[in-house]
Amino acid sequence: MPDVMDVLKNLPDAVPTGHSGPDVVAGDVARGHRAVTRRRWQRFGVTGAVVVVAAAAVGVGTGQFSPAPSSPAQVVAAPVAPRLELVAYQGSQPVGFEVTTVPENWKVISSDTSSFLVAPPGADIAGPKPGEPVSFEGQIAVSLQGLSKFPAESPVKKVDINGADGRLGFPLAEEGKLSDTRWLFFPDNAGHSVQVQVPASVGLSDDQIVSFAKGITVTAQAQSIGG
Amino acid sequence: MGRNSERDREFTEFVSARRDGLVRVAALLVSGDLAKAEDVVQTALTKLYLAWPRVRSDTVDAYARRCVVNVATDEHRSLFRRREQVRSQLPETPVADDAWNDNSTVVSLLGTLPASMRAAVVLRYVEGLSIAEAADAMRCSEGNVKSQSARGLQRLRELFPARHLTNFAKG
Repeated sequence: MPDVMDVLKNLPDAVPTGHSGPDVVAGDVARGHRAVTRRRWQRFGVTGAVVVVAAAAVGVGTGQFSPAPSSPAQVVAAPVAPRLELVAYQGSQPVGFEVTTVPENWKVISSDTSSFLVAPPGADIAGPKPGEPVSFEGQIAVSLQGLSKFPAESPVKKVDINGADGRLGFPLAEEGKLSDTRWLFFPDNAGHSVQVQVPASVGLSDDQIVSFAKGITVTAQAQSIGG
Repeated sequence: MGRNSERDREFTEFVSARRDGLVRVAALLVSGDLAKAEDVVQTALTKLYLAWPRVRSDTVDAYARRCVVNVATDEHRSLFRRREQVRSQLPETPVADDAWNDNSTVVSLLGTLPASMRAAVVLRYVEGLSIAEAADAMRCSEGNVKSQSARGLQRLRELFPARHLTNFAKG
């Protein structure tokens, strides 16, 4: 009868390890990509777009938005830039999405199958560095909705996006306080639920966000990053 | 390959070279269940990819191993919470006679050890790590590795002959 120690030493040759071909390794890399993207969004959810706490009243924008459920949430306000005009987008199209209009002089600085970012002139248009978290502050981000959803505190405004029902509202900047960043969720013709994220500092009105959203087409390459 | 090409290239090289070994360690830590081991390695490699820019090339093996041990331990704990079964005796592991051998017996017996004891035995006596390397992978003291691995080995020696004789009696 062999000693247990001898059997243990021989186990590396006896235990099957399954299939580890290039396709399996590629799957590991793809999972890594998705995890990086998820982390970027999560970091934004904690730190993004919070600039000035103005303790604005819950009723900011109540002339446009339907009432939110009773809550003590407050909107966090940021400096608002002058209003922008949307113009036809002339650059190369993002991979997972296509756009027809962008704010004048803005550029698409980052695009992949999960999202694209549009930044104002003068911003760091080099795009995010490999492996580094992406700041969405001051930029418009478009993605599939994934797991994002409005907090209970957010008022929600219904808008029309190419005949489909879109919903405009706010994420939380921190516990009990709504961000002044706006989220727009809307379904496209293929059934994707698209998310547009617009910081207040961009200076787009609700109507301009809707116009921007109407020019977004989700391609077959788009992927959700919401886990 | 885009902006992450360098990171992806390095990560791909590492995973291609080390993945089988990580799956083997994971399989031994989760009682030989290859599907579960694959899940453990996928989760561990995702954590490794996230940490890749911070991990030095000379410590990446240790880091990957630590990820596998952590995930396997968490997996064991979560399964234990979901499927806890109290028994007065060790469960019998049904094995077809023709497939039975010492290796599968020891793998089954490893599954009866507590998670940390099992990890210490696998890392020390199967993977051949030093006490310091095992302690790093388990994120515990070297003294703990010594005691856990010694007690684990003793438990296996106590159980192994009994299993062996039981099987011969069946035949």
